[in-house]
Amino acid sequence: MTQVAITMTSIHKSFDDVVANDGVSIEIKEGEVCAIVGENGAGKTTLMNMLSGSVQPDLGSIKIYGKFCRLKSRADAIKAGIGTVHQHFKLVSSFTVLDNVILGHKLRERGFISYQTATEKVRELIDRFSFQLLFDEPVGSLSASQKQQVEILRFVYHETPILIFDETTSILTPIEKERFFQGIELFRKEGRTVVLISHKISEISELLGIADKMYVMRKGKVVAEYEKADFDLEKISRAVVGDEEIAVYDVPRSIADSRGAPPLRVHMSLKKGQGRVAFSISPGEVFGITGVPGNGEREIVDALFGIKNAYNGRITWKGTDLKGLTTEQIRRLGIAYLPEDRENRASISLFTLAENRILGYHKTDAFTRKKRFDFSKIYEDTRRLLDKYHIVAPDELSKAENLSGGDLQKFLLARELEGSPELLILEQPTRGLDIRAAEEFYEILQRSKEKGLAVILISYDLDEILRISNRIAVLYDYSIIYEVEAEKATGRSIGLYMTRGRF
Amino acid sequence: MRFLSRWISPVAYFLQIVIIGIVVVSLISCLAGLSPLKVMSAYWFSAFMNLNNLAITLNKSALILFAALAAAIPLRGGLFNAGGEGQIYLGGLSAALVGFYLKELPTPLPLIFAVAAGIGMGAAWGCIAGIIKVKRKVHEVVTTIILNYVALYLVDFLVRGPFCAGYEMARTARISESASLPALTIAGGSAILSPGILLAVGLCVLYGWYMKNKPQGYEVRIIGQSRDAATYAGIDYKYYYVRLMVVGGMLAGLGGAVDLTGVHRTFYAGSFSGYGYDGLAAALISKCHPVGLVIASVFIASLRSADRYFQLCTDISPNITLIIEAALVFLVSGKYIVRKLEIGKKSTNERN
Repeated sequence: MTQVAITMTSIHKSFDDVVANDGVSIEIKEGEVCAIVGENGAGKTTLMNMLSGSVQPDLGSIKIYGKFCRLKSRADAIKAGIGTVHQHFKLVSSFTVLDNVILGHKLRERGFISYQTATEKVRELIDRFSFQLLFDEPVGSLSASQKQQVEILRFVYHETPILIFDETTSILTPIEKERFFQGIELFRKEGRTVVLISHKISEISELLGIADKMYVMRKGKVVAEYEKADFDLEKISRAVVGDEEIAVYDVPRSIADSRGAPPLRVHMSLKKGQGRVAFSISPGEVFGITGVPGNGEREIVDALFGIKNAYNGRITWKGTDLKGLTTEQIRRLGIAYLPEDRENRASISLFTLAENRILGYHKTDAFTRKKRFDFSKIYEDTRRLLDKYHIVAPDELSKAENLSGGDLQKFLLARELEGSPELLILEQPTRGLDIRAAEEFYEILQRSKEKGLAVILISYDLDEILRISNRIAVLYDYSIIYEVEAEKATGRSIGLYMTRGRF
Repeated sequence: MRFLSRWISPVAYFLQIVIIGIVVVSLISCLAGLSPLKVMSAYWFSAFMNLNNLAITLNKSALILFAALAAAIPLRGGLFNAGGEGQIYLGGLSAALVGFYLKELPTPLPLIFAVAAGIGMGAAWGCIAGIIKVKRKVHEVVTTIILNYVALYLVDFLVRGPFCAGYEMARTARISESASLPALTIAGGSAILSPGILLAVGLCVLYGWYMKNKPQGYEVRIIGQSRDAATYAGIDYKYYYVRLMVVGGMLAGLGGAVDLTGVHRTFYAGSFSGYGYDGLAAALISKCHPVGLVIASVFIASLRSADRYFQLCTDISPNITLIIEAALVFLVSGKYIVRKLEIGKKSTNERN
């Protein structure tokens, strides 16, 4: 008879006014692969955080292998047999793979760590999972998927019977993802219990292939529960988004205006002449740039937006060489940028919306009079923006941190578009947004594209890249190694180039 | 409602501080075997209750307020200027020397030059820390504290050595009348009331207005919150780092010069000791709020006055005032330090 590994009964949890979990009950048997799907903000991560000990339930009980548990810390969770691989890795980057794996383990001889025994064991594990890792490499130099492997090794080494993966696939390329699912199969054979969390609708079909059981969460509740026998993609997808129809915005591929010379021409080499980045963009076009994070996308943005001038070559915008210009001057030439880090770079969470409205535009005549801020104009304009873009916010004096992720992102997009730029650089624009907010974002963007806005879209989300770009470029080691028309591109081919066929 | 809450929260904040202060005083007095009421009434009398004492407290408040501004303005931009102490010494000494040697010039000029010399020396001292921070990435706390010691020993050497003019006490020559700030003499008392407090409060008002209304003040606040956001907004934060340290130095130097030309009119060795750190404490307690800076500075100055009175006239140990000040800084700025650390944590993914 199979034992029940995890039982969570009527879990309630709220943060201030927000109810994250409202009477959630789940049951996962030993040796089972269970998937929990739902949109951002459905409460999946909160639920899993209770299993990893970082959040305690307000009400309800947790049983691990039939024993009631109160998990008050990560250490408690590991003791109870639960290992969680988070979206953000919890590794010591200056330590080697080996040191990270044995961290916290009590395999000691006379009070000393026995490196010999540990090395042998870790080597054997790396072989068993056919991970491409060297045990003495420092973790800081590894790629994201390799870091994930280190996290996995850690729990395997500690013989943790239950493994939770919180949105781990979101950073993997298609091939890495296949490898990851193979690893899950291995866990199943070993009799470990696996929980997979995902918010991507597009991933459900892949999860159906591997899971034995699936829970769908929406607005803090489990809304559906399926066993292997009655898996049905369409039913499950509908359960994820809910009954109300959400218009999946049909993003028409914008038509690039290729009459005349393209306004932006980039021809540069990053990283001391090794990398080669060359592309040009026409009005109305979306140029998608993707790749494994850390392959030069940040350096391209830094060069384009005048943040760093550490490149050779030329960037010309409508005939003007951008080299040596400051960010302020570049912004005045009609180039706008919406960074990935919304709370700390694109806005300041402790500032009011009005103060964030003028970030980057605070010296323009629209907001100043006699070199002083004209607050009535600033407040009025902020209110107008909130109105025009249907942003849910109490008023212009509420702090940015009080907005939902989707509303904040809409607000920031609105701010950039109000400067009527001709080129907009977007970095991971819909990361962490729920489907509804993402669709609204695309819709607002579309209106500007029709008016001739050119867009550089930097994203690691292949679905997004494939859906809204006209052309797609893949970055590898500071070079564009592949460029393709979006119609001819497939996720697989792009994924291959992202890792250059290497895992 | 919003208007009300904007005013209620600072008031509530200071009420909390007063309550914490009273509790601390009571506890320490009891521990020392004194009556808390006796200590508090002695404190009240010595700091405020007679014109003479009040004038002394206000003169000290002015100097502490200058030092507090010197700490607060860089702090708004995320810089911790601990160098007010040394900048005050240098500002004071420069004013003393210029005020003495340029006495031949027509009337307002010696005063103007003396004050300008104080501002200039403070600015130069702050500038060193700012440039080292930007060029060599040495933390400003380290450089400013080292510079404090350089200033302290340099000034001490000059006052006791080449420029010593006193016989009973080590001090410089008295500055001329034409280099002195006009001050009010308290009737029947020995103290004079310098107009420094008016100047300091005026600057404090200007600081509050500037931070809110000027694009440059806004830019400073952005830098203080997130260097990443500053870079994104097109702000050259390195340039601001130097400027903020220079402004801090100017204010502290001005404080030293105003105190010297307005109160003592000669530089006694060791007379400025501790005011720079008192100002830093005032900035931390008030979290750089302009009204708060004034209140905190007056409060710390009153402790200093009490200190002197306790020493001369009572059996209460003057150290009690130091304990109170230290306890308050710990209790009140603790929250601030916690927040500062959180901001630091966020900025670990900064690119620059």
